[in-house]
Amino acid sequence: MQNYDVIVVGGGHAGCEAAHASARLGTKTLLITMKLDGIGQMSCNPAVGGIGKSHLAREVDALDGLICKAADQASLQSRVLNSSKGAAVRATRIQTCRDEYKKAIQKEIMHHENLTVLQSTVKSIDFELKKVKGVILDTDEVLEAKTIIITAGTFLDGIIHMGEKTFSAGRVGDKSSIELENYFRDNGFNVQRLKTGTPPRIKTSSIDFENLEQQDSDNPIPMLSYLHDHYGQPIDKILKLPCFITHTNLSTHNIILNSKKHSPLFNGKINSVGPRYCPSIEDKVYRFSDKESHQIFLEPETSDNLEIYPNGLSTSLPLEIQKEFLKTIKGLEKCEITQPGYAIEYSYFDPP
Amino acid sequence: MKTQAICAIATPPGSSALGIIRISGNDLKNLTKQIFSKDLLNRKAILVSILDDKTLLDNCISIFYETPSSYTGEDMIEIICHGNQVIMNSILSLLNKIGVRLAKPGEFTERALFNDKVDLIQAEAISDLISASDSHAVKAAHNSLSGKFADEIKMICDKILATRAEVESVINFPEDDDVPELSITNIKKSLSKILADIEGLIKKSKKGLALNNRPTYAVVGKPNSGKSSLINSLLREDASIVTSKTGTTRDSICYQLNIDDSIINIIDTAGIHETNDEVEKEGIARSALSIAKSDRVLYLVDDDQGLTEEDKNLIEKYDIKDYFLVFNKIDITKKEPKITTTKPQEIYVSVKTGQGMHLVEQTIKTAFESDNSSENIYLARGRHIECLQDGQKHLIDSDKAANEKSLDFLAEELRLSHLAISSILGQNPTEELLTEIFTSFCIGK
Ligand SMILES: Cc1cc2nc3c(=O)[nH]c(=O)nc-3n(C[C@H](O)[C@H](O)[C@H](O)COP(=O)(O)OP(=O)(O)OC[C@H]3O[C@@H](n4cnc5c(N)ncnc54)[C@H](O)[C@@H]3O)c2cc1C
Ligand SMILES: Nc1nc2c(ncn2[C@@H]2O[C@H](COP(=O)(O)OP(=O)(O)OP(=O)(O)O)[C@@H](O)[C@H]2O)c(=O)[nH]1
Ligand SMILES: [Mg+2]
Repeated sequence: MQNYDVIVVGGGHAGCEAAHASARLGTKTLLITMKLDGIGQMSCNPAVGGIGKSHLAREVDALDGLICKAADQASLQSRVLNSSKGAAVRATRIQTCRDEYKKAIQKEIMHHENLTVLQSTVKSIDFELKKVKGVILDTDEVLEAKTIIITAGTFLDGIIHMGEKTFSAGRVGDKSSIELENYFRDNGFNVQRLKTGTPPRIKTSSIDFENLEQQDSDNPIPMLSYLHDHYGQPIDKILKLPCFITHTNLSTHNIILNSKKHSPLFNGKINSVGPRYCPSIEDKVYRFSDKESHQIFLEPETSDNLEIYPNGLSTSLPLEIQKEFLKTIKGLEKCEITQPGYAIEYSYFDPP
Repeated sequence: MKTQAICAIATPPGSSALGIIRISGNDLKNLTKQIFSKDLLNRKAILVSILDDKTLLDNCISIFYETPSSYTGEDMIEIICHGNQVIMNSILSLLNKIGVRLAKPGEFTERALFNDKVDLIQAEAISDLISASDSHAVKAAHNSLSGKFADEIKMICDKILATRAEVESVINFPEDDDVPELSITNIKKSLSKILADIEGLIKKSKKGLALNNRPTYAVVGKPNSGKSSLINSLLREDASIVTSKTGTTRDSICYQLNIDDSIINIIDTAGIHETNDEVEKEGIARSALSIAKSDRVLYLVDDDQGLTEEDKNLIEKYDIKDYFLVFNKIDITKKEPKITTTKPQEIYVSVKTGQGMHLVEQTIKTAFESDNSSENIYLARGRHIECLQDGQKHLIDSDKAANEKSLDFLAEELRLSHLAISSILGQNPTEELLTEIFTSFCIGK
């Protein structure tokens, strides 16, 4: 049996920052996550910052956190939004290369003093007289710590919906965390469900960018981190890539309107609430039926630019329908889907 | 909510033909069964005896109001007994004996507030209604009570909300093509409309505040012009000392004057003029204070001397604004009583003979009514006006920010304005704003 001061469960944005901060304080820290290679992996869009989140990212940066420095390192396109408006409402947003981002995070996490990393799955928490004592792994091994931090993201009893199909997953390609969810549910936590979604990914070479509006990085390239200089690495080492803008049209909307009964978001299969900032394309078409077109950003996912993330097309419709409506969109007439869009439902609970 | 039943005498202290005792609580019928000779009926007035064990305390009419259709939202009983303090006290002690405690001041209304029977403004209006000084104040309190004031506040909040949604959407969703470009001209137009609304509401509310504080008129003029005589005549009693000596009145004295069903404060003041006399000087300083705190002034002139340069200088020096010129002693100058339509209005009277006095009374009454005539006056609290003024200040700053095209300051000042004004209703509008934005525009990637 091993003893730690702090055990962090989960290796996403939240878990990495928590473990890193804890280790920097000189506390003996253990980070447990289901897949070592998943450390620093972004679940959805590989963007960092923007209007809603850059202040949060920068607060973490002010505490010498990881996210802004890693994003600067991995930037494919960096822009300042609202640059023409008042200084208080400007926001930097970086479209990163998800692989470079992960590499930058892993480099910090895997070689940090006081920080041990373990690939495993936590199935429950060990309590003694209402105080946490440690975590219990799926192998029944017990690891003790004074403090436990859970950052399970979308993994707690995650269920993916794609048309009529549903299956258990923490995100596409990852197992969900069912035992831990049941543990919380059975032990007096107020467990509730949330939902979110992601668009299909498209093979870059199957898109015709010829007549689409191009959006480049700002010049000079804006930085998210105020501390990047201290690390002395050249920031512009990866190639910058532009984003492109296209639009849905009435044919797209007709296909989506006619498929309402196939959308788990609208046929009653999903009842949980999602963040209102990320509506699905179904949501937009059904709720704003008078709009003839919605804007879509085509964003690169990695520096080798093999896949495109069509931002604005989050959907849980069946794959066949996704294919069909994508082809009605300018530039995507011959597109090939590399990974279907889906919606995911997962559990959350308030801290005790 | 499980609360103890409460009771209180609802009529003013002292003896009267009838006295009312109110009770509010849960399951009152059961609780009070043993003290009534008969079962009470919902919303029916019935004659019952009130019995302490077997002793008869009083025969009275009692009405039962079943929850939630009562003032407090709980079960309520009204006992209309004989208005004798001894009888009422004995009924109260009997109620205490069966577990109904005496209510704290305002506790009935507090329960009404908790049970959503009234909102904060209405609760405050009820307290004003109880202490309202005359029929106009009562009307104003009723206006607040019926939610009309709250409606106007809501209307203003809605307009600010719409403007905020426009500005905030542009800031928060710069890449969404659904959000239209911001037109500073339109924003400024909306702001000036809202500012006019607030201005109007503050005016109406201030009048309400004045109503509750009672309007105050001062009678001012040179020594010996007949100020004290005029007041005595209006009050129909020998209240102030009147002599033929100048400088009789040495101090400001405030009287209550009933005109029809309204009450106003009327202040007799020391005659104003240039003097070196210590006592007189002090008296004149007090006259100046009375002028400053009064809503209107009756400026008296001895018609035998006419309106002199000295009078004009005094009016200017003491900053007398809303005033009537009353030319007294027309019995000497042998003029007819009359009232002019000039500005300021001139009234010719003789206090001594009573000629024209009805014109003075009529003028005071009309002035009072025109100050308060509008049906839309709200008996606002000082707190409401402060909030409105706070909101107004931030809207003016929003307008400045709009001129400079700084959307961040514009959004923030609008937010502060919205917070200030919606706090009158005890609300926090953040969620409302998000709903407004997300239902008006299709946004979010
Ligand atoms: C389809 C989809 C769409 C999304 N869309 C958006 C979006 O548009 N915008 C946005 O901001 N966010 C979006 N998100 C949310 C995204 O999850 C968060 O932005 C962010 O990644 C959350 O970080 P996190 O560290 O909290 O959790 P995650 O990144 O989800 O990481 C959770 C970690 O916990 C580990 N873990 C879970 N359970 C256990 C266990 N029992 N034992 C050990 N390890 C465990 C997992 O292996 C994983 O490493 C989306 C997510 C998904 C899946
Ligand atoms: N003839 C006549 N005399 C009047 C009239 N009104 C008041 N007087 C007399 O004027 C004198 C002064 O009256 P007051 O009422 O004391 O005057 P005042 O303005 O209060 O005087 P100070 O208190 O000294 O400032 C008294 O002798 C009154 O009787 C009037 O209408 N006609
Ligand atoms: Mg006098």
